[in-house]
Amino acid sequence: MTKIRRVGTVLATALGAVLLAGSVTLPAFAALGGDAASVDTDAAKMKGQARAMAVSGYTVKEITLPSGTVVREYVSAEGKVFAVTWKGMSQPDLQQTLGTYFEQYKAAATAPHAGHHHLTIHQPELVVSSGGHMRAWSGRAYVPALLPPSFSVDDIQ
Amino acid sequence: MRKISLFALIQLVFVLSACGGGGGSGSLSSGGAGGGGGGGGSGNIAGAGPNVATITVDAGPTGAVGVFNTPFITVTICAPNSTTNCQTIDHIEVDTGSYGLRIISSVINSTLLSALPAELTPGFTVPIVECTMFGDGYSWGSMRTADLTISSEKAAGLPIQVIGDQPAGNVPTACSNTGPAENDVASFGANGIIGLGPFVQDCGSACANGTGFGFYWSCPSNGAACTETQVPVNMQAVNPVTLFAADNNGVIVEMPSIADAGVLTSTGALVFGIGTQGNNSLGSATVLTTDTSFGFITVNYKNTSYAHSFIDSGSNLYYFNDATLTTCTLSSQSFFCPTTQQSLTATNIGASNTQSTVTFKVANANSEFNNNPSFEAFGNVAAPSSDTQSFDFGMPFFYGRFVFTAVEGKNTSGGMGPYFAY
Repeated sequence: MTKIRRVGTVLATALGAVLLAGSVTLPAFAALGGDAASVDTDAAKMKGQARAMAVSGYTVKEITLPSGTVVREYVSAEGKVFAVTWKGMSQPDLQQTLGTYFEQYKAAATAPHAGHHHLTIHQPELVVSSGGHMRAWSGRAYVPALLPPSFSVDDIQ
Repeated sequence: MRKISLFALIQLVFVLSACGGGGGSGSLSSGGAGGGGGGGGSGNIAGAGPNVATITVDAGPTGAVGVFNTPFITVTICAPNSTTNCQTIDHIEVDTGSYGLRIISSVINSTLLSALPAELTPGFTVPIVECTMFGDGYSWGSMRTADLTISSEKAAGLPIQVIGDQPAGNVPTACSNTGPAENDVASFGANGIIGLGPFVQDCGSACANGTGFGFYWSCPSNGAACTETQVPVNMQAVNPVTLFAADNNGVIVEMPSIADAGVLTSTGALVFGIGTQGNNSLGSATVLTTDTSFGFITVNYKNTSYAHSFIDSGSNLYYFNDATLTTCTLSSQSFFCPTTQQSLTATNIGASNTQSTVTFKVANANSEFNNNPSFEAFGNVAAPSSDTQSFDFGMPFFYGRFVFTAVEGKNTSGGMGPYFAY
């Protein structure tokens, strides 16, 4: 499609630049891609209530933010956050939630696309989809390289 | 029909010349033909009338890139109580999935902009600035009041958001950390947006009675940091239809059927009111009431129930999940790309249990886009949803249908809103 295709190289260049800058300046408490302790950091930073659910091979930690938005973080047996989801009237702090991937997300989200209700970013190192309508937004993000063996992305709810 | 501004004409000429024409439907005139292919409405798309605005699906305003399946109208805003300090603005996106009129500050002339009074926090008299969170980023700008005219419909003293009028650097991190900024025409893809969904305000009582949602901020004019503030519902961004003297219970988006290959541009009508005039009767449309908090209906699709579903002109594709449909990645964005066009069926269920079965098509998005790179309207493109509980009937659903959106608390010939009908 022309709308997307014509900006492909521009995006790739911008992304490279941002990633370079991001790797230097971003804080260490990243959630997605970070270790399990970062979940508790997230809960504290976002003033949320956290609870955990153990599932075979991984753990889902759920944080309910003051806005009512629910953030779920999927933690592998190795203690890495490999996926996050969110749902609610307000978008969560995605810098906190996506951690070091936030700048990559922002750069990809800046690429031309139609409308304001959805975004589907599929890159080798990061998959993010965000969407919905006003009063009810949702999103899910995962790092393909960090998915536990035999984990299905359909299990990211 | 409504006049198209010179700006839009120039844009259209640019698009036509830049793209070398191509096939597809005509451009500016629907000729009153087309007809609703769905159950709702009664035949032809509404012609000119006091409660009718022309919808155009095109490439968007100059400077916008990547726009398609986006319906636009033209509006006129005036300084409150003025009939002379006014401006007609084209390419305002029609969004039945949001609430309120928002206009990019750079498209408003300076004389008018300076005459649009800022909304001030009650008692503190500090300007109110909104962080509008979308699915793909945020828009930051002050809340002001203006008189709005669309066709012959008027909303006086309407709270609107003027996007991008604030000094850079004062955006709270609770806003800027939600995604990329969309504060100018290039990043917003439109000169503005008009939210005509099934509720009255963008936030409602939650933001009137508390904070923590990140919507409304008081930003002292001396440049001090903004703090989140409560805002009474009547000062929030409001569905403009609800302030019309009549025809204030909802809208109809009427679009013609389009070819499977898509079309260069598509022209339809935005009709104000439901069952209030000769041209907006509900006819045989099925009413699907939504829940009263989020605007959801339920969709049953392939033996799975999706309880957080909706119909939305602000979504440019169908968005749902189906593991049997092949996906593809085009410039880092996901789409469905089945080998052959699929004819699919879903049953839509309202909160009051009325049901409607619909058929829809999903074609290979990559082929659709590549076969006709200049086309701006496609009725059969889809992508995976961010929400495993949601089925979003976006703009492709609207072609060949009359889609009604009734506002909460408003009575109509089909009962009380909030509901969708088609």
